[in-house]
Amino acid sequence: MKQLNALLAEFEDKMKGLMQELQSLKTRAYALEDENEKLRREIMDVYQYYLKDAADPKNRQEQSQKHGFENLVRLYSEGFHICNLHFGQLRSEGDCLFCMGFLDKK
Amino acid sequence: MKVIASKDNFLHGVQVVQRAVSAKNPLPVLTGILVKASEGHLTFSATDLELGIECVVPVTVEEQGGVVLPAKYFTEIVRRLPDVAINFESNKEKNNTIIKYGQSEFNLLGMPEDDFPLLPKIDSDSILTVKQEHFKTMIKQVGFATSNDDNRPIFTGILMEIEQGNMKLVATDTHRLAYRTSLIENGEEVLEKSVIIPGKTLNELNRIMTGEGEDLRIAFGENQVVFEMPGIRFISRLIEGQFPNYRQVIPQGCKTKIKVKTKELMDSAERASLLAKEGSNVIKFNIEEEYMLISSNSPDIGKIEEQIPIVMEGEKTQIAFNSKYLIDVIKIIDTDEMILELTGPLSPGIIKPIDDESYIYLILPIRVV
Repeated sequence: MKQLNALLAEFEDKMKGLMQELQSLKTRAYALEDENEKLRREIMDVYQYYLKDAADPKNRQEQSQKHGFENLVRLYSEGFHICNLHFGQLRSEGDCLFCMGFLDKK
Repeated sequence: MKVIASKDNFLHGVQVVQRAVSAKNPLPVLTGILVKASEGHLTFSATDLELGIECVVPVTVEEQGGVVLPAKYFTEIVRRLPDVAINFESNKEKNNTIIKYGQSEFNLLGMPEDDFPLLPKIDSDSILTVKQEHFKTMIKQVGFATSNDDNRPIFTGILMEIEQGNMKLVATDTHRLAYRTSLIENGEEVLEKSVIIPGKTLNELNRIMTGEGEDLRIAFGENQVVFEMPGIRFISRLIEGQFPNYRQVIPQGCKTKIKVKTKELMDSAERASLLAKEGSNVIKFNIEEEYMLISSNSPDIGKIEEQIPIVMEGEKTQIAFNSKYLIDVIKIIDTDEMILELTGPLSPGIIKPIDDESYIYLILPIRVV
Protein backbone atom coordinates (compact mmCIF):
# COMPACT_ATOMS: atom_id res chain seq x y z
CA MET A 1 0.00 0.00 0.00
CA LYS A 2 2.86 2.28 0.89
CA GLN A 3 4.52 1.55 -2.43
CA LEU A 4 1.31 2.34 -4.28
CA ASN A 5 1.05 5.69 -2.47
CA ALA A 6 4.64 6.52 -3.36
CA LEU A 7 4.05 5.62 -6.98
CA LEU A 8 0.90 7.77 -7.04
CA ALA A 9 2.82 10.76 -5.56
CA GLU A 10 5.58 10.29 -8.12
CA PHE A 11 3.00 10.06 -10.87
CA GLU A 12 1.32 13.24 -9.62
CA ASP A 13 4.67 15.12 -9.66
CA LYS A 14 5.36 13.95 -13.19
CA MET A 15 1.89 15.01 -14.24
CA LYS A 16 2.45 18.46 -12.70
CA GLY A 17 5.74 18.78 -14.60
CA LEU A 18 4.11 17.72 -17.82
CA MET A 19 1.26 20.21 -17.28
CA GLN A 20 3.79 23.02 -16.68
CA GLU A 21 5.69 22.04 -19.81
CA LEU A 22 2.46 21.99 -21.77
CA GLN A 23 1.59 25.45 -20.43
CA SER A 24 4.96 26.89 -21.45
CA LEU A 25 4.66 25.29 -24.89
CA LYS A 26 1.21 26.83 -25.26
CA THR A 27 2.56 30.27 -24.25
CA ARG A 28 5.41 29.88 -26.70
CA ALA A 29 3.01 28.87 -29.46
CA TYR A 30 0.87 31.97 -28.79
CA ALA A 31 4.00 34.18 -28.90
CA LEU A 32 5.09 32.60 -32.17
CA GLU A 33 1.63 33.05 -33.58
CA ASP A 34 1.70 36.75 -32.61
CA GLU A 35 5.15 37.21 -34.10
CA ASN A 36 4.08 35.40 -37.23
CA GLU A 37 1.09 37.69 -37.59
CA LYS A 38 3.28 40.78 -37.07
CA LEU A 39 5.76 39.61 -39.69
CA ARG A 40 2.95 38.90 -42.13
CA ARG A 41 1.70 42.47 -41.63
CA GLU A 42 5.20 43.87 -42.15
CA ILE A 43 5.66 41.85 -45.33
CA MET A 44 2.29 43.09 -46.47
CA ASP A 45 3.29 46.71 -45.77
CA VAL A 46 6.57 46.32 -47.65
CA TYR A 47 4.77 44.65 -50.51
CA GLN A 48 2.17 47.42 -50.62
CA TYR A 49 4.95 50.05 -50.46
CA TYR A 50 6.75 48.50 -53.44
CA LEU A 51 3.52 48.35 -55.38
CA LYS A 52 2.93 52.08 -54.68
CA ASP A 53 6.58 52.95 -55.21
CA ALA A 54 6.70 51.32 -58.63
CA ALA A 55 3.66 53.32 -59.67
CA ASP A 56 5.06 56.69 -58.42
CA PRO A 57 8.63 57.60 -59.49
CA LYS A 58 8.52 60.83 -57.44
CA ASN A 59 7.93 58.83 -54.31
CA ARG A 60 10.84 56.56 -55.21
CA GLN A 61 13.09 59.62 -55.56
CA GLU A 62 12.01 60.91 -52.14
CA GLN A 63 12.84 57.58 -50.57
CA SER A 64 16.23 57.58 -52.24
CA GLN A 65 16.89 61.11 -50.90
CA LYS A 66 15.88 59.99 -47.43
CA HIS A 67 18.32 57.12 -47.70
CA GLY A 68 21.08 59.54 -48.86
CA PHE A 69 20.38 61.88 -45.96
CA GLU A 70 20.61 58.99 -43.50
CA ASN A 71 24.01 58.15 -44.96
CA LEU A 72 25.15 61.75 -44.43
CA VAL A 73 23.96 61.71 -40.82
CA ARG A 74 25.88 58.47 -40.28
CA LEU A 75 29.00 59.94 -41.92
CA TYR A 76 28.81 63.04 -39.70
CA SER A 77 28.30 61.01 -36.53
CA GLU A 78 31.32 58.90 -37.48
CA GLY A 79 33.42 62.08 -37.35
CA PHE A 80 33.57 63.38 -40.93
CA HIS A 81 32.57 66.72 -42.45
CA ILE A 82 29.50 66.67 -44.66
CA CYS A 83 29.48 70.40 -45.50
CA ASN A 84 30.42 71.41 -49.02
CA LEU A 85 33.60 73.09 -47.74
CA HIS A 86 35.36 70.07 -46.28
CA PHE A 87 33.24 67.14 -47.39
CA GLY A 88 34.72 63.82 -46.28
CA GLN A 89 37.52 65.36 -44.21
CA LEU A 90 37.98 64.25 -40.63
CA ARG A 91 36.37 66.53 -38.03
CA SER A 92 39.27 66.87 -35.66
CA GLU A 93 37.89 69.75 -33.57
CA GLY A 94 34.36 68.74 -32.66
CA ASP A 95 31.15 69.88 -34.32
CA CYS A 96 31.07 72.06 -37.44
CA LEU A 97 28.54 74.90 -37.78
CA PHE A 98 28.11 74.36 -41.51
CA CYS A 99 27.61 70.58 -41.29
CA MET A 100 25.03 71.12 -38.54
CA GLY A 101 23.39 73.91 -40.50
CA PHE A 102 23.01 71.48 -43.38
CA LEU A 103 21.55 68.76 -41.17
CA ASP A 104 19.13 71.20 -39.50
CA LYS A 105 17.96 72.51 -42.86
CA LYS A 106 16.98 68.99 -43.90
CA MET B 1 67.72 113.39 -50.29
CA LYS B 2 67.82 115.97 -47.54
CA VAL B 3 65.04 116.48 -45.02
CA ILE B 4 64.49 118.29 -41.73
CA ALA B 5 61.79 116.90 -39.50
CA SER B 6 60.86 116.36 -35.86
CA LYS B 7 61.26 113.07 -34.00
CA ASP B 8 57.44 112.75 -33.87
CA ASN B 9 57.23 112.98 -37.68
CA PHE B 10 59.63 110.06 -38.04
CA LEU B 11 58.13 108.09 -35.18
CA HIS B 12 54.60 108.40 -36.56
CA GLY B 13 55.65 107.26 -40.05
CA VAL B 14 57.71 104.34 -38.82
CA GLN B 15 55.15 103.12 -36.31
CA VAL B 16 52.34 103.14 -38.87
CA VAL B 17 54.17 101.20 -41.58
CA GLN B 18 56.32 98.81 -39.57
CA ARG B 19 53.59 96.14 -39.25
CA ALA B 20 53.73 95.58 -43.00
CA VAL B 21 57.48 94.92 -42.98
CA SER B 22 58.30 91.38 -43.94
CA ALA B 23 60.44 89.96 -41.13
CA LYS B 24 61.73 86.96 -43.05
CA ASN B 25 61.73 87.34 -46.79
CA PRO B 26 64.05 86.09 -49.53
CA LEU B 27 63.86 89.62 -50.99
CA PRO B 28 66.07 91.71 -48.65
CA VAL B 29 64.46 94.95 -49.82
CA LEU B 30 61.16 93.85 -48.22
CA THR B 31 62.78 93.80 -44.79
CA GLY B 32 63.21 97.55 -45.18
CA ILE B 33 61.14 100.73 -45.04
CA LEU B 34 61.12 102.99 -48.08
CA VAL B 35 61.57 106.64 -47.11
CA LYS B 36 60.84 109.01 -49.96
CA ALA B 37 60.99 112.81 -49.90
CA SER B 38 59.00 114.92 -52.34
CA GLU B 39 57.59 118.44 -52.24
CA GLY B 40 56.93 119.19 -48.60
CA HIS B 41 56.34 115.67 -47.40
CA LEU B 42 58.06 112.44 -46.54
CA THR B 43 56.44 109.12 -47.48
CA PHE B 44 57.13 105.94 -45.51
CA SER B 45 56.21 102.62 -47.21
CA ALA B 46 56.47 98.97 -46.23
CA THR B 47 55.06 95.78 -47.70
CA ASP B 48 55.28 92.02 -47.40
CA LEU B 49 53.50 91.71 -50.78
CA GLU B 50 50.25 90.75 -49.02
CA LEU B 51 49.81 93.92 -47.03
CA GLY B 52 51.22 97.32 -47.90
CA ILE B 53 51.11 100.49 -45.80
CA GLU B 54 52.03 104.01 -46.87
CA CYS B 55 52.19 106.98 -44.52
CA VAL B 56 52.76 110.60 -45.51
CA VAL B 57 54.05 113.19 -43.03
CA PRO B 58 54.69 116.90 -43.65
CA VAL B 59 58.39 117.85 -43.38
CA THR B 60 60.82 120.43 -44.73
CA VAL B 61 62.36 118.96 -47.87
CA GLU B 62 65.65 120.48 -49.02
CA GLU B 63 66.43 117.84 -51.63
CA GLN B 64 64.10 115.20 -53.03
CA GLY B 65 64.98 111.51 -53.26
CA GLY B 66 64.47 108.15 -51.57
CA VAL B 67 66.16 105.25 -49.81
CA VAL B 68 65.18 101.88 -48.33
CA LEU B 69 66.45 101.47 -44.76
CA PRO B 70 66.57 98.20 -42.78
CA ALA B 71 63.41 98.33 -40.67
CA LYS B 72 64.92 96.63 -37.64
CA TYR B 73 67.59 99.30 -37.05
CA PHE B 74 65.69 102.29 -38.45
CA THR B 75 62.70 101.69 -36.16
CA GLU B 76 64.86 101.26 -33.08
CA ILE B 77 66.96 104.39 -33.68
CA VAL B 78 63.91 106.54 -34.43
CA ARG B 79 62.33 105.42 -31.13
CA ARG B 80 65.44 106.41 -29.24
CA LEU B 81 66.09 109.78 -30.92
CA PRO B 82 66.05 112.89 -28.69
CA ASP B 83 63.19 115.33 -29.11
CA VAL B 84 65.10 117.80 -31.31
CA ALA B 85 65.07 118.75 -35.01
CA ILE B 86 66.39 115.81 -37.04
CA ASN B 87 68.46 116.25 -40.20
CA PHE B 88 68.03 113.28 -42.49
CA GLU B 89 70.41 112.94 -45.43
CA SER B 90 70.88 110.17 -47.90
CA ASN B 91 73.47 109.66 -50.62
CA LYS B 92 71.84 108.55 -53.86
CA GLU B 93 74.79 106.57 -55.20
CA LYS B 94 75.79 104.64 -52.10
CA ASN B 95 72.46 104.87 -50.23
CA ASN B 96 74.42 105.75 -47.12
CA THR B 97 72.06 107.59 -44.76
CA ILE B 98 73.04 110.03 -42.02
CA ILE B 99 70.56 110.88 -39.26
CA LYS B 100 71.82 113.99 -37.42
CA TYR B 101 70.41 115.05 -34.06
CA GLY B 102 72.06 117.90 -32.15
CA GLN B 103 75.81 117.36 -32.27
CA SER B 104 75.46 113.61 -32.89
CA GLU B 105 74.81 111.46 -35.92
CA PHE B 106 73.84 107.91 -36.83
CA ASN B 107 74.98 106.28 -40.08
CA LEU B 108 72.87 103.58 -41.64
CA LEU B 109 73.53 101.70 -44.88
CA GLY B 110 70.43 101.59 -47.07
CA MET B 111 69.27 99.94 -50.29
CA PRO B 112 68.33 101.63 -53.58
CA GLU B 113 64.72 102.87 -53.72
CA ASP B 114 64.24 101.44 -57.23
CA ASP B 115 64.42 97.89 -55.84
CA PHE B 116 61.35 98.49 -53.68
CA PRO B 117 58.08 97.25 -55.24
CA LEU B 118 55.53 99.90 -56.19
CA LEU B 119 52.38 99.76 -54.11
CA PRO B 120 49.51 99.37 -56.58
CA LYS B 121 47.22 102.29 -57.32
CA ILE B 122 43.58 101.37 -57.64
CA ASP B 123 41.44 103.27 -60.09
CA SER B 124 38.07 102.00 -59.17
CA ASP B 125 34.52 103.23 -59.12
CA SER B 126 33.80 100.90 -56.25
CA ILE B 127 34.47 103.37 -53.46
CA LEU B 128 32.78 103.57 -50.13
CA THR B 129 33.19 106.01 -47.23
CA VAL B 130 32.55 105.09 -43.62
CA LYS B 131 33.33 106.67 -40.27
CA GLN B 132 36.58 105.28 -38.86
CA GLU B 133 35.18 104.94 -35.35
CA HIS B 134 32.20 102.96 -36.61
CA PHE B 135 34.29 100.64 -38.77
CA LYS B 136 36.69 100.11 -35.88
CA THR B 137 33.82 98.86 -33.69
CA MET B 138 32.60 96.57 -36.48
CA ILE B 139 36.03 94.97 -36.87
CA LYS B 140 36.36 94.56 -33.11
CA GLN B 141 33.02 92.75 -33.01
CA VAL B 142 33.85 90.15 -35.67
CA GLY B 143 37.66 90.06 -35.99
CA PHE B 144 38.22 87.66 -33.09
CA ALA B 145 36.08 84.90 -34.64
CA THR B 146 38.43 84.18 -37.54
CA SER B 147 40.44 80.97 -37.70
CA ASN B 148 44.24 80.81 -37.41
CA ASP B 149 44.45 77.69 -39.55
CA ASP B 150 46.29 78.61 -42.76
CA ASN B 151 45.20 75.32 -44.33
CA ARG B 152 41.71 76.80 -44.58
CA PRO B 153 42.49 80.34 -45.82
CA ILE B 154 38.84 81.39 -46.29
CA PHE B 155 38.23 81.15 -42.57
CA THR B 156 41.27 83.32 -41.78
CA GLY B 157 39.42 86.14 -43.52
CA ILE B 158 36.44 88.37 -42.82
CA LEU B 159 33.66 88.48 -45.38
CA MET B 160 32.69 92.03 -46.32
CA GLU B 161 29.37 92.08 -48.10
CA ILE B 162 27.93 95.30 -49.43
CA GLU B 163 24.42 95.25 -50.80
CA GLN B 164 21.39 97.53 -50.83
CA GLY B 165 23.10 100.24 -48.79
CA ASN B 166 24.17 97.79 -46.07
CA MET B 167 27.60 96.61 -45.08
CA LYS B 168 27.94 93.21 -43.44
CA LEU B 169 31.03 91.77 -41.83
CA VAL B 170 31.07 88.02 -41.13
CA ALA B 171 33.79 85.86 -39.60
CA THR B 172 33.77 82.21 -38.60
CA ASP B 173 36.14 79.40 -37.67
CA THR B 174 33.32 76.82 -38.20
CA HIS B 175 32.73 76.49 -34.43
CA ARG B 176 31.43 80.03 -33.95
CA LEU B 177 30.33 82.85 -36.19
CA ALA B 178 30.21 86.60 -35.68
CA TYR B 179 27.94 88.73 -37.86
CA ARG B 180 27.60 92.50 -37.89
CA THR B 181 25.50 94.57 -40.23
CA SER B 182 25.37 98.33 -40.60
CA LEU B 183 23.73 100.92 -42.80
CA ILE B 184 26.06 102.82 -45.10
CA GLU B 185 25.29 106.43 -44.31
CA ASN B 186 26.82 108.01 -47.38
CA GLY B 187 24.19 106.59 -49.65
CA GLU B 188 26.26 104.38 -52.00
CA GLU B 189 23.22 102.16 -52.54
CA VAL B 190 24.32 101.07 -55.99
CA LEU B 191 27.56 99.49 -54.86
CA GLU B 192 27.37 95.70 -54.52
CA LYS B 193 30.46 93.79 -53.44
CA SER B 194 31.39 90.61 -51.67
CA VAL B 195 35.05 90.17 -50.76
CA ILE B 196 37.07 88.24 -48.19
CA ILE B 197 39.69 90.39 -46.49
CA PRO B 198 42.45 88.72 -44.42
CA GLY B 199 41.53 89.02 -40.72
CA LYS B 200 45.13 89.93 -39.91
CA THR B 201 44.90 92.94 -42.26
CA LEU B 202 41.73 94.27 -40.69
CA ASN B 203 43.13 93.84 -37.19
CA GLU B 204 46.20 95.84 -38.27
CA LEU B 205 43.95 98.49 -39.78
CA ASN B 206 42.12 98.68 -36.47
CA ARG B 207 45.40 99.35 -34.71
CA ILE B 208 46.21 102.23 -37.06
CA MET B 209 42.78 103.88 -37.22
CA THR B 210 42.52 106.71 -34.74
CA GLY B 211 38.75 107.01 -34.87
CA GLU B 212 37.73 110.46 -33.68
CA GLY B 213 35.09 111.05 -36.32
CA GLU B 214 37.36 110.93 -39.37
CA ASP B 215 36.37 109.23 -42.60
CA LEU B 216 37.77 106.01 -44.02
CA ARG B 217 37.60 105.48 -47.78
CA ILE B 218 37.44 101.91 -48.99
CA ALA B 219 38.24 101.20 -52.66
CA PHE B 220 37.93 97.76 -54.20
CA GLY B 221 40.22 96.54 -56.98
CA GLU B 222 40.32 93.27 -58.88
CA ASN B 223 42.00 91.32 -56.09
CA GLN B 224 42.95 94.09 -53.73
CA VAL B 225 41.29 96.48 -51.35
CA VAL B 226 42.59 99.90 -50.32
CA PHE B 227 41.73 101.73 -47.12
CA GLU B 228 42.53 105.41 -47.09
CA MET B 229 42.51 107.83 -44.19
CA PRO B 230 44.20 111.20 -43.89
CA GLY B 231 47.93 110.63 -44.53
CA ILE B 232 47.69 106.82 -44.64
CA ARG B 233 47.07 104.29 -47.44
CA PHE B 234 46.55 100.68 -46.50
CA ILE B 235 46.52 98.08 -49.28
CA SER B 236 45.68 94.42 -48.83
CA ARG B 237 45.24 91.48 -51.14
CA LEU B 238 41.91 89.69 -50.98
CA ILE B 239 41.42 86.01 -50.18
CA GLU B 240 40.20 84.09 -53.19
CA GLY B 241 37.38 81.60 -52.85
CA GLN B 242 33.76 81.30 -51.92
CA PHE B 243 32.73 82.16 -48.37
CA PRO B 244 30.28 79.55 -47.05
CA ASN B 245 26.60 80.35 -46.92
CA TYR B 246 26.46 81.80 -43.41
CA ARG B 247 22.73 82.56 -43.62
CA GLN B 248 21.84 78.88 -43.54
CA VAL B 249 23.51 78.36 -40.16
CA ILE B 250 21.83 81.24 -38.34
CA PRO B 251 18.87 79.67 -36.51
CA GLN B 252 15.47 81.27 -36.95
CA GLY B 253 13.71 81.37 -33.59
CA CYS B 254 14.56 79.65 -30.34
CA LYS B 255 13.03 77.62 -27.51
CA THR B 256 14.68 79.43 -24.60
CA LYS B 257 15.39 83.16 -24.41
CA ILE B 258 17.48 84.49 -21.55
CA LYS B 259 18.24 88.04 -20.49
CA VAL B 260 21.29 88.34 -18.27
CA LYS B 261 23.56 91.08 -16.92
CA THR B 262 26.68 91.16 -19.08
CA LYS B 263 29.13 91.81 -16.25
CA GLU B 264 27.67 89.10 -14.02
CA LEU B 265 27.92 86.51 -16.78
CA MET B 266 31.44 87.65 -17.66
CA ASP B 267 32.68 87.39 -14.07
CA SER B 268 31.09 83.97 -13.55
CA ALA B 269 32.30 82.61 -16.88
CA GLU B 270 35.84 83.81 -16.16
CA ARG B 271 35.86 82.15 -12.73
CA ALA B 272 34.42 78.91 -14.16
CA SER B 273 36.97 78.96 -16.97
CA LEU B 274 39.80 78.75 -14.43
CA LEU B 275 38.95 75.07 -13.99
CA ALA B 276 37.71 74.59 -17.54
CA LYS B 277 41.18 75.34 -18.91
CA GLU B 278 42.47 72.11 -17.42
CA GLY B 279 40.02 70.01 -19.38
CA SER B 280 38.50 70.85 -22.72
CA ASN B 281 37.40 74.40 -21.84
CA VAL B 282 33.86 73.28 -21.04
CA ILE B 283 31.48 75.34 -18.92
CA LYS B 284 28.00 73.93 -18.29
CA PHE B 285 24.86 76.00 -17.99
CA ASN B 286 21.64 74.87 -16.31
CA ILE B 287 18.89 77.29 -17.22
CA GLU B 288 16.10 77.45 -14.67
CA GLU B 289 13.16 79.86 -14.56
CA GLU B 290 14.74 82.62 -12.49
CA TYR B 291 18.38 81.74 -12.39
CA MET B 292 21.17 80.10 -14.32
CA LEU B 293 23.67 77.65 -12.81
CA ILE B 294 27.15 77.91 -14.27
CA SER B 295 29.45 75.05 -13.43
CA SER B 296 32.77 73.61 -14.36
CA ASN B 297 34.53 70.53 -13.12
CA SER B 298 38.11 69.36 -13.26
CA PRO B 299 38.35 65.97 -11.48
CA ASP B 300 41.98 66.44 -10.40
CA ILE B 301 41.61 70.02 -9.18
CA GLY B 302 38.11 70.83 -8.05
CA LYS B 303 34.79 72.17 -9.18
CA ILE B 304 32.87 75.43 -9.25
CA GLU B 305 29.16 76.18 -9.32
CA GLU B 306 27.74 79.69 -9.57
CA GLN B 307 24.19 80.95 -9.66
CA ILE B 308 23.22 84.19 -11.38
CA PRO B 309 19.76 85.72 -11.79
CA ILE B 310 18.21 85.79 -15.26
CA VAL B 311 14.92 86.64 -16.94
CA MET B 312 13.89 83.57 -18.93
CA GLU B 313 11.18 82.91 -21.49
CA GLY B 314 10.45 79.43 -22.82
CA GLU B 315 11.77 76.02 -21.75
CA LYS B 316 14.31 75.16 -19.08
CA THR B 317 17.40 73.70 -20.66
CA GLN B 318 21.01 72.63 -20.21
CA ILE B 319 23.91 73.43 -22.48
CA ALA B 320 27.72 73.47 -22.44
CA PHE B 321 30.02 75.90 -24.23
CA ASN B 322 33.73 76.31 -24.82
CA SER B 323 34.61 78.96 -22.23
CA LYS B 324 37.00 80.80 -24.57
CA TYR B 325 34.39 81.19 -27.29
CA LEU B 326 31.93 82.55 -24.74
CA ILE B 327 34.30 84.95 -23.00
CA ASP B 328 35.56 86.29 -26.37
CA VAL B 329 32.09 87.56 -27.22
CA ILE B 330 31.13 88.85 -23.77
CA LYS B 331 34.27 91.01 -23.88
CA ILE B 332 33.02 92.95 -26.89
CA ILE B 333 29.41 93.38 -25.77
CA ASP B 334 29.14 96.91 -24.45
CA THR B 335 25.52 96.89 -23.28
CA ASP B 336 24.67 96.27 -19.60
CA GLU B 337 22.47 93.32 -20.49
CA MET B 338 22.71 90.65 -23.16
CA ILE B 339 20.47 88.03 -24.72
CA LEU B 340 21.10 84.30 -25.05
CA GLU B 341 18.83 82.35 -27.37
CA LEU B 342 19.00 78.57 -27.11
CA THR B 343 17.27 75.65 -28.81
CA GLY B 344 18.23 72.60 -26.78
CA PRO B 345 21.64 71.28 -25.78
CA LEU B 346 22.77 70.35 -29.30
CA SER B 347 21.77 73.38 -31.41
CA PRO B 348 23.90 76.52 -31.79
CA GLY B 349 23.25 79.24 -29.25
CA ILE B 350 22.82 82.87 -30.26
CA ILE B 351 24.31 85.69 -28.23
CA LYS B 352 23.54 89.35 -28.87
CA PRO B 353 23.50 92.67 -27.07
CA ILE B 354 20.12 93.68 -25.71
CA ASP B 355 17.93 95.75 -28.08
CA ASP B 356 20.43 95.43 -30.93
CA GLU B 357 19.65 93.26 -33.93
CA SER B 358 22.71 94.42 -35.87
CA TYR B 359 25.05 91.99 -34.12
CA ILE B 360 24.72 88.21 -33.85
CA TYR B 361 27.21 85.73 -32.43
CA LEU B 362 26.63 82.05 -32.99
CA ILE B 363 28.33 79.48 -30.83
CA LEU B 364 28.22 75.70 -31.16
CA PRO B 365 27.59 73.84 -27.91
CA ILE B 366 29.82 71.03 -26.72
CA ARG B 367 28.20 67.70 -26.42
CA VAL B 368 28.42 66.54 -22.78
CA VAL B 369 27.66 62.86 -22.14
